[in-house]
Amino acid sequence: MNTYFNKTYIIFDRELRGYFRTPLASIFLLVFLALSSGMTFFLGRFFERDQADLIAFFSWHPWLFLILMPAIGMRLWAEERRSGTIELLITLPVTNTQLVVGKFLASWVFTLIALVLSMPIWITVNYLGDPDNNVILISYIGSWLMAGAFLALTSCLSTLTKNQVIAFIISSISGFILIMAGFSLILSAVRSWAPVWITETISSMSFLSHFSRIQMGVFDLNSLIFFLSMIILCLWINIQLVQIKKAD
Amino acid sequence: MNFLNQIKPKNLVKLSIFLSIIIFFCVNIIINNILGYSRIDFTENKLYSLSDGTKSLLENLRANPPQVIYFKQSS
Repeated sequence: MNTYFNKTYIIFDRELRGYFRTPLASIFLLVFLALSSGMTFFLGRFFERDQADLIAFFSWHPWLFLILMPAIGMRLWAEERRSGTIELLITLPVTNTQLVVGKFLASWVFTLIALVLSMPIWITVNYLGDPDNNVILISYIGSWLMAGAFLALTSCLSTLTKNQVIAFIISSISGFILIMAGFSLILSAVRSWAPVWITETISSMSFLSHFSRIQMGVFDLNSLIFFLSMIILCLWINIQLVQIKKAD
Repeated sequence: MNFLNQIKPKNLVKLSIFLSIIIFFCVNIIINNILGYSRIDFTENKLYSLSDGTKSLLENLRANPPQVIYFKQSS
């Protein structure tokens, strides 16, 4: 059992270092921090709101992740398949599960680093006022869970193609559908012909409605189970797809 | 499990993906129905919970409090 996790850790370590060996890490971190603080101050009107909370910061996260998570997840499998290193990887004495989980965890921890680096905004709001720090902590955890769901989806979809751009676009579009699932844009297409329980199920799959509740400081157990089951589902499908696509 | 051997491995994988999506939806629908509104309020001032005052007020109500209901004539 110990060697099992050791191998996962080796894959994880290699992938995480891989991010920092290339300019990808610094560009991603720079873009994430610049966009998130830019949106907080200019679009979210952080100062004009005159309230000691980080709602102006967190409410942009679903939209930021919609673009940025596919950007760091698209290379996970598409690159391996394009360069042919997937054949070498599969012949190594590691199982597909260890590979998929290791690669996913590396990208998830990388987003954690990005979120931790956005700490100055938390210091700013504590310096300027007296915010509710429990709510901020819960929002960070919710944001990280949501990022994980996006990453698992991207990782799964990047197995389907050898082209990173296609992987990026497919995962952005499916991410958009999942964000907007609770809104009339998606629901109106279903509502006219489907029974009520289908409409309700689709609207309960919305990332945005789950995240907006977490961001208020109310942690729904449904949301936790939704995000975790989403991650597990996508990784499971990913493992199966690697099995089919490894020889293509 | 003999019949599983007759299916091609590729189709077996597709079947498992399909089934896992169905299981995902079932789990979420069941969880939504069982848990309902089980949420933890992390706000400092318990903004989204009923206060003790409200609870004791509701507990000390008489069995059948008088109710006054107003209707518009048009409705």
